[in-house]
Amino acid sequence: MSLSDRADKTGDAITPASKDVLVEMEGVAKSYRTGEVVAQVLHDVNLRIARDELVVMFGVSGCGKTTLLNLLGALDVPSAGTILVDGEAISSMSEGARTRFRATKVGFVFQFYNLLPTLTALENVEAALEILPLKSAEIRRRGVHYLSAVGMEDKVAKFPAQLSGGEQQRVAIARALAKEPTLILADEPTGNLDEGTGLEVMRVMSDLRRRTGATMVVVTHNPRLTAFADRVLRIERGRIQGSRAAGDP
Amino acid sequence: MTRLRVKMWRDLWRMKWRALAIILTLASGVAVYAGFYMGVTSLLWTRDSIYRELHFADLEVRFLPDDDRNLPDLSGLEGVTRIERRLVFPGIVRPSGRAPITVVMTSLERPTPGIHSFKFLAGRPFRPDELDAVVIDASLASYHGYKVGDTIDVKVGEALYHRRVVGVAITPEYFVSTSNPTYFVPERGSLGFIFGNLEAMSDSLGFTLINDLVFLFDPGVDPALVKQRVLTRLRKLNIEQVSPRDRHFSHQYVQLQLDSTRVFIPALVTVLMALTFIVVSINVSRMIAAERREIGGLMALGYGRRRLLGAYLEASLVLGLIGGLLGLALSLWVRNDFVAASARSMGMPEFRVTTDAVAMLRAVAYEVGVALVAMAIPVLRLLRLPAQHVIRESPSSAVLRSAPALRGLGALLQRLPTSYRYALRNLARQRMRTAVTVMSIALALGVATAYRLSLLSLNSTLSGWLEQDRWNLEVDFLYPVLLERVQELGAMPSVMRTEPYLSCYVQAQSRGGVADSTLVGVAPDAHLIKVLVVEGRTSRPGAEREAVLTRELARRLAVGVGDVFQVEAMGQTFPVRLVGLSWAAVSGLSIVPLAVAQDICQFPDKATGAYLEIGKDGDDNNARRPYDLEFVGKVLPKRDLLAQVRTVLSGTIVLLDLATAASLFVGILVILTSINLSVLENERDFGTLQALGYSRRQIGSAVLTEAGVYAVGAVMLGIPVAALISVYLNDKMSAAWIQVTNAFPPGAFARVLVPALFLIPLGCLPGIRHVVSRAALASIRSRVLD
Repeated sequence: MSLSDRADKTGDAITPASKDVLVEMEGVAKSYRTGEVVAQVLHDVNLRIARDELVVMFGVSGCGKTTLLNLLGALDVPSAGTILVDGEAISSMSEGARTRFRATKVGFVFQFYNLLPTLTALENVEAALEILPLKSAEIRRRGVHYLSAVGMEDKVAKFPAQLSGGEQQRVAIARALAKEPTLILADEPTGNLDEGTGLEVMRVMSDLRRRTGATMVVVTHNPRLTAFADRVLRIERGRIQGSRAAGDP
Repeated sequence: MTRLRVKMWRDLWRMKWRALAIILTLASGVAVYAGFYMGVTSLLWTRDSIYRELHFADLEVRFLPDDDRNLPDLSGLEGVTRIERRLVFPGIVRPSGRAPITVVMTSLERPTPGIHSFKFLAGRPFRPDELDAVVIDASLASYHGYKVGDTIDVKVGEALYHRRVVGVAITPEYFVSTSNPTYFVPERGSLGFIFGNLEAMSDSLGFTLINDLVFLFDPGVDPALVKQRVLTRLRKLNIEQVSPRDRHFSHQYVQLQLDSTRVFIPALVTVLMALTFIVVSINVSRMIAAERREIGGLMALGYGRRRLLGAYLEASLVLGLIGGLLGLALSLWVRNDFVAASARSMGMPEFRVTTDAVAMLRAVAYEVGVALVAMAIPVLRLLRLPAQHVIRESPSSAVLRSAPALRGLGALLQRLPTSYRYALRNLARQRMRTAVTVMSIALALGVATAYRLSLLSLNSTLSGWLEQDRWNLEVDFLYPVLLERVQELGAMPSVMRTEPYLSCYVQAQSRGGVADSTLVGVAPDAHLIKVLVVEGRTSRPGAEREAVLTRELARRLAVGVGDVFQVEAMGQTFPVRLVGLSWAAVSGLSIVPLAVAQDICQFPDKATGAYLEIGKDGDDNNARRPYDLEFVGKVLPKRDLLAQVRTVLSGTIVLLDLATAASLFVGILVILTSINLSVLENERDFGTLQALGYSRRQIGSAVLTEAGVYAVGAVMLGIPVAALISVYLNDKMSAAWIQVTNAFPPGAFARVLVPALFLIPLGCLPGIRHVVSRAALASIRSRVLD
């Protein structure tokens, strides 16, 4: 039985054993309480992601993909199960430790860019670097470098309000990459962009990811983005229903 | 500079109008706190510095006039630096074509006295050889137009003195004056003071007549001890009055006014501090809500809670310090206005201002604290959430959990047009904010109204106290007069009734202490004067001497009803039983039957004054006729006293207008912030209404309805709040001064609440302007607060 077959049958997503594993999730569940109602968002998720892999999590709204992404990024903690990222058990970390983890190991790209409106493009990127133990010169160098990498070298002094949606998302990508994280998490990065711009942004992200060797997890409900993935995970009602490698039907 | 700090500074600039509202609110709190406290300090300093510069007497002893050769030897009195002898008589000046002026004529040994010195405003002192030259007090100049070079005729008893004005001066003795210390009310302009040459009196009499001694003590001595030494030396004299510095009317009146003001200030300051906290909190909450996603993004980037909280607190500190500095600048203006108005109402001829660094620092510290706490609460509340909850917009509570009361009103609401219904349901949906806004404004209005109520309660208490007495004229004699001569007053036209009284200086002694007191003897069956007893009963003639004391005198002596204390006068001691406690506008009164006073003061069958009742056919001449009798020193019409009470209080009302303006300003700020927050939160709803075809006028009326509900609610709640605060203030005043009867005249409420009803809704105008000027589509698409 191939690994793919196994995934189809059990719903688990397991990477090929020969690849170096960055992320391991075992028995992860997440529920939220709203008043007297308890909503079970994730059920018994088991997942491994290899280094240097681009994984697209695909599913309809409300299927739990964003929740899964937030758990990976230590923005939230699971109700059950364990999560290891780069050998660190983030599911049992304290709030302070999770903050430090996000500062050093994770880069986020959000659907609505989440740029700071009163900082320029360059300053937005530098804001992500200032909390790292880097010298000012290195902060400035990285800021300029990664903005250039996303094609924004001539707009470093522009404020977000002066940029288009696609340009703002490029700045957000540069900000995520500038800290050279181990893991990049993108939550609907093209959700607020038109089709053409969204694909262009995705192309930039994918290209940069390949050059830097970062592992990337992208959450989307747009099936066209799956073309960029090394692996596609289909999420349905809080479970991983299927996993296929790139090129597989 | 870190990027986070850059972001904070630019955010503040972007929200500059909101930041300005916060700064102005903080500044108003600092201005009022520091301004009022510095004002009180300035008034005290004015009094103390002028007293120091002009050598205010530490002790004054007034006695029956006597040849100076009969005075006891006062040399070698330990603790006394200087003694000056004076002759002081009340008199009357009749300027042609104008009402007569009661004056005090003081004859001085030296042209420039070393105690109660002069500060000349015009002219010069009289020379030792100028027997007809006089210096007049500034009030005679400013209120009656006398100036250097004028002549002035003064009638004292039967004698008429022609004098020439050579100088106009102020003197600390009459810094704040009253025509009768028995009624603790300053009289501006109705009493004049003239200072002449003692040599002129000695020249006409052939000997030097003295009836007043003023003393300056050595620095650092115990004044009570030195006073006792002086009185021991003077025990053979018929002492009428002993006035230590702190019991002198000038000194005491200013102190009492300021003590009363200090009752009001904490209440005003507390309310303003609470209101500044609320306004700042609302504004800051709005700012944090607008930045929620940014804060979530920063948390996602790895910014820790401490760093983020620190950044916001730093911004808050900056706002607090700017507000503090602006407030300090404004506080100088508040201080100057307060001091000027207070000095005017007290009749002070000049005032000086000073700064009080402690009050200023305290004010700034309080307001900076308010700013920091107001910022910390919403930021911490947000930072406690998981980062991913912060990133997402918080869902607004679209569900209206209707209260039973609202359900009952449901049928009524259904009949209202949609825009009004929307506004009322919106208020119900945000119950906490609605309640906080209404209570804040009600508190501001309540405090301003309460001050008016308290002052009017004081007015009605004092006026009522005076009006309960049936006398129309109080006549003071120059010296004790036989009772049969007092009847000459009763024989004058329109005089329906004459009741004599006798007063003299005594020392009251008990195990609890010794106190100066004015012993007042009135007939037990007196109709014209009413002794208001709050505990016990009035005194009656009998085998035992009985007295009614004023409450504060009883407190000083630590005696209660039923206790026996000692009264010393003219070297003799008399046991007296305390049978009742009275409240009066003055302190230190011991009220006894007339015969007991005659016995203690050692003036058998005599009186030192009389109360007269004038019939309805009386006219203005009634107040002048008693002066025809040579023993009459001063006549005080009760209507003049009532008018003075009202004049003093009307001057103080000016201060209340300041407080009212400050309260209304803060009330408008509260409604401005609350309404505008509501407008921005519901911007999408307004856009939808526009898209549906609602006119801008209809949408604007929804906003105005909200403001109207706030104003009406605050005004209605303000009424009981004002009443409660007024009762509290009156209670404090009663402990500090006299028993105040609570009064709630509707006019006092209307004066503050009616303007508020119309002015406060103006605070919603910026919100209306925003709603009607924005395109519907932009409103519908709005996602975050801007």
